[in-house]
Amino acid sequence: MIKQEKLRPCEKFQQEGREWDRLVVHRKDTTGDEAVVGHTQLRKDAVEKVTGTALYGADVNFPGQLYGALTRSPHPHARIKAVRVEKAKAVPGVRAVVTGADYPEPYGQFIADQPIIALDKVRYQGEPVAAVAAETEEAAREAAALVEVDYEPLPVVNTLEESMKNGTLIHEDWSRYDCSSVCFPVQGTNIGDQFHLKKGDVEKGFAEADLVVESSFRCGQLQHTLIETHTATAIANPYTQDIQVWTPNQSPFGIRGLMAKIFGVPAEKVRLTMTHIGGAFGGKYEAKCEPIAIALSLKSGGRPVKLTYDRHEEFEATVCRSTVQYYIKTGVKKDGTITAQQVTGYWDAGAYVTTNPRVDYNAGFAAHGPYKIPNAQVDTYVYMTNRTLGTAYRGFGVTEAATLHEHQMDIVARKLGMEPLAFRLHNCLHDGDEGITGEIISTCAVEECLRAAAKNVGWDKLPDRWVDEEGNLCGKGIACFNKLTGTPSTTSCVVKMNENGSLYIWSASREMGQGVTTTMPQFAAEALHMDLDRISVAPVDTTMTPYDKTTTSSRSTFHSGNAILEACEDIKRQLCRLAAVKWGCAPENVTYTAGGIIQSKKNPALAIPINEVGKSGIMHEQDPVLAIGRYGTSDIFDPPPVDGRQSKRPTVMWMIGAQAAVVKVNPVTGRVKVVKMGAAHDIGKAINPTGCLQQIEGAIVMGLGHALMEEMIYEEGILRNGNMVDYKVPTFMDSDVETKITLVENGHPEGPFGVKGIGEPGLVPTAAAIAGAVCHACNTDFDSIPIKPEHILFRKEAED
Amino acid sequence: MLPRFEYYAPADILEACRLKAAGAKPVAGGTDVYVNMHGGKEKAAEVLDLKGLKELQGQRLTPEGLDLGALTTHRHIEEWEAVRGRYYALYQGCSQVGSVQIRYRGTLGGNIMNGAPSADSVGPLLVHGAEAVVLGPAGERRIPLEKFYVGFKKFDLLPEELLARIFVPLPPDNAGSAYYKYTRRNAMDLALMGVSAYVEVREGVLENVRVALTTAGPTPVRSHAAEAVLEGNPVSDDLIVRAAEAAAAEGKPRSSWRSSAEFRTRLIHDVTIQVLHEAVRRAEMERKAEAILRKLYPGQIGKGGGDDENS
Repeated sequence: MIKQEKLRPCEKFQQEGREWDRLVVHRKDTTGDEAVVGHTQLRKDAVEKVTGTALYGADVNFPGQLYGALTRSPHPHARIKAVRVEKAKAVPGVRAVVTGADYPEPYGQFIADQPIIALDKVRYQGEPVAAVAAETEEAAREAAALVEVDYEPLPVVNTLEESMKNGTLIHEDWSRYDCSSVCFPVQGTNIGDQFHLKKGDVEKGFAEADLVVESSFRCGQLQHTLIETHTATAIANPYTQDIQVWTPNQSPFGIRGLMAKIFGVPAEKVRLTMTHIGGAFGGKYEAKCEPIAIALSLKSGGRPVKLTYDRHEEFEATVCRSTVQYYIKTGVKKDGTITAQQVTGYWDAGAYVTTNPRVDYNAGFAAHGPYKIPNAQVDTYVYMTNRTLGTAYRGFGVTEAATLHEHQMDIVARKLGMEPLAFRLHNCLHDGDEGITGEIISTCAVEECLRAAAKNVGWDKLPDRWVDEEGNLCGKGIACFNKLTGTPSTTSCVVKMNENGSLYIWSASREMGQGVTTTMPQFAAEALHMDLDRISVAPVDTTMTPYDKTTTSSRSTFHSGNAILEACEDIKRQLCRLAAVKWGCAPENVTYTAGGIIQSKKNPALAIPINEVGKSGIMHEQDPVLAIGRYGTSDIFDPPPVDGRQSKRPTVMWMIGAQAAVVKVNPVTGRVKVVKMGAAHDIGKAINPTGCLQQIEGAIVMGLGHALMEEMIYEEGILRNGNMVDYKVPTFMDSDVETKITLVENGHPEGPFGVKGIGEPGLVPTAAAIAGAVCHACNTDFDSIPIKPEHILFRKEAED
Repeated sequence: MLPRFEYYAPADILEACRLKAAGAKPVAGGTDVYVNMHGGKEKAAEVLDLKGLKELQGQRLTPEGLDLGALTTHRHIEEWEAVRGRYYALYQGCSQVGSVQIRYRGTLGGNIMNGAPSADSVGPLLVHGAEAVVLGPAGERRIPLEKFYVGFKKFDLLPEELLARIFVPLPPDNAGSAYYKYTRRNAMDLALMGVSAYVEVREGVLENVRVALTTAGPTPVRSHAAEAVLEGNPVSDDLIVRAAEAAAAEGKPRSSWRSSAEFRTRLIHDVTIQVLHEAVRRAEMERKAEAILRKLYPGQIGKGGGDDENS
């Protein structure tokens, strides 16, 4: 056993090794003198992960296990004329072959447009057309290769522009599908969803403006490049219909509901046992391997079936971040006051709708950024193409939206002759202002974030662009954003005291690197004044763990934290009652002190410190101590109507932040070096400060890749760079960026200790700030990311 | 998934030659072969591990030049001080292969025999006038590296022959070389384009000039057009620009999803200028100090050193 106290160099590391500071704007339910919350703690999952003993999805194995493999379509778009599986079945060791005909009902969270295995046609290269389970992986792959499919190739819709012509339809008839009330396809087109927001009258606003500026921006298609590829192991009993899946998915209850629907069983028959997640970032929100592994297990008489994608499958046929092409038009007064802004956008969502309606929705509310815009409009459309499937990607569309509006802010500032930061500060939202849904804005520290981010790169001392002594073109850029968290949503937890007085937290908030299995115990430790080492998060299993909507949208610490605090109050009451039984007094005569002592009011000598409650005997043969906590946001939510999306409370929590970048561009090679990043994020309250810093630092490296390197390149529906050599993710050698971070603490009225989310926000302004800095350095309006060396060498300088 | 295969690790060169002739896939570090087997590109049923063959092992610097076993790793070259001094382009090439982990496993022989147009060690070896030493049942053959390549992944090598060693002649004191690898990121990347140059400078005049382009054709290739511009002429900025123009014209890169022809052409041009300047600078500067010291202490500071095994 490694004692946690001995492994606590984090504070030291944090003080010596990093540059960061904390800016307290507003405290909520916190004095700043807490013992656990607000102090860096060793991650609960650290030792397991660093020593390589953590069990991830692919580490799950069972006796008698079969291996799954898929036959995938070589065509991006084709009609399936016939599927013949005889040769595959004849391969020794093959135990099951499943085709689309076995599961003809399509599924989908927002619209049921996707078969688990293609049935009548394939809509992207790599789409499964058959699945095989065999005694060995070799036999399964061999058999999958022997499945014969007759295809009739159809015209390929390779680009957004081709899709928008609606000449070739990816889905001929949307009306055939079961569609939820929050997805809006257009019959007879490739439009799978749309979003419209309208505040005031943009035409009136443009008429009032002294200057109207229009620009466009495109964000390229990205892969999540999870270290752990998608995997699932299923045991599905064909006789009882009991289904169990071991998976590293980030949305246990979402997947449970979906599996129940696909396989026509009640939800309680589906048991998902969650493994460690080796990277998710939205990429493990969708069901990928799970339904196919279940289908194969059912067909092989309930044998365990393991299905793991290789890196090529991961690239070609899992999920990605959609391309988006945005257009923006801004009206502005000479003094820099924005009068109106209009955003129009087109997503290339790939072959199936998946989570795109939510991406479209979240991005829609963020499309104007944290600015005062009296007349605002957003019209965005989700278009289908024959590419891999767009889905959630850390930020749910808001990263792309921020890149758009911040690019526009720079252009407008330049045309006005205003300094970019000054222009932003002139227009940014403050408490009491009206947001683009008509909401009265509160707990909004965007000005503080902008100023701190700027200060962290020494903004005021730098010109917009300069040339260094080596001849590099240098520039600075800044970006801010606002992102909502999905509302309404609910969560629940069970806090259970073990016989020795330690605590388990049962929560379905998934640890995916963001640190929630450390922050959740921190809340309990603080509330109860208990040693953190005595509190841990139980493994997640949908048969035992209470409901949580999903681990997305930077919601876990906020929502689960509230639930845990509620449960801990109940734990205190239960312990006081047990002490009263022991001491023979009335429960109201026992108190739980702020210092974590269960104490008799009448006889203070009768006292049990919480860390000694196990030894105290008060629990012996008494009612077990077990509390529940719940938190939901349905009560505060003002549903934004489809017509215009005006709402007094579209979300429980806006996340706010800003980042500034300093870059140097080699004019000969066109290569960009990000020299310095300054970040400032309003996290409400830093529960585990090093965890917050790591979220932001990691996001900055990720965003650097988005701004300068990463893109999925398709030609005629064929992915050209579906591997880790040709798809350029930054390596450690590219991550040498001097980073200074300010954790802004502007306590949220509804957040536990005032906390706000930080899982996604670190990424949201990064690419925007870097792109802005490169544009400044090169005196060019690059209108897409990634900005590649060839764009830089063949750039056209801005004229105004 | 790594497919099943038969694995041979002979210690006898003739046994190895026999296995290769029978179709076994030779493997040294495995950083290409096993990756390709994982990805399904290489479907060898039999793998021939060369690491036990003493004829392919060892490396030394002699007064004649560098004698490198085909199993010499990139990391070995990278950390070999004497190589860095005299064969700077080779040092630059080997030290930019993949990552440290890959350089510890990947070998010079493997880099050549993998036949990639982007092979980082090959451009530098070409400009340093390296020779391939191949062994087979019929004995040893020595082939200039340039001739050893006969096409995309094709070599002047019989089925029963193995690349055993690489010999790189010792450059004179007035020589300098350089390599530039153009990549999109700083590690784990293939050269989008690369230029190597070797020059000897005698009283301001360029001699024995060799320029090679990486990822500009099916194999790393010499740019004879650029060499012709430079050879026998006094160094000048103008001359270097004309050589760069010749290299760009000779390179004839094509457009692909990786980059446009226009971009690659411009890179060859601009990078050739940088690499030639660097090679000339090294020729004029690098070993001047050593030459002076040698004059001061004749016989005491050896030329090319003795047998530097560096192991």
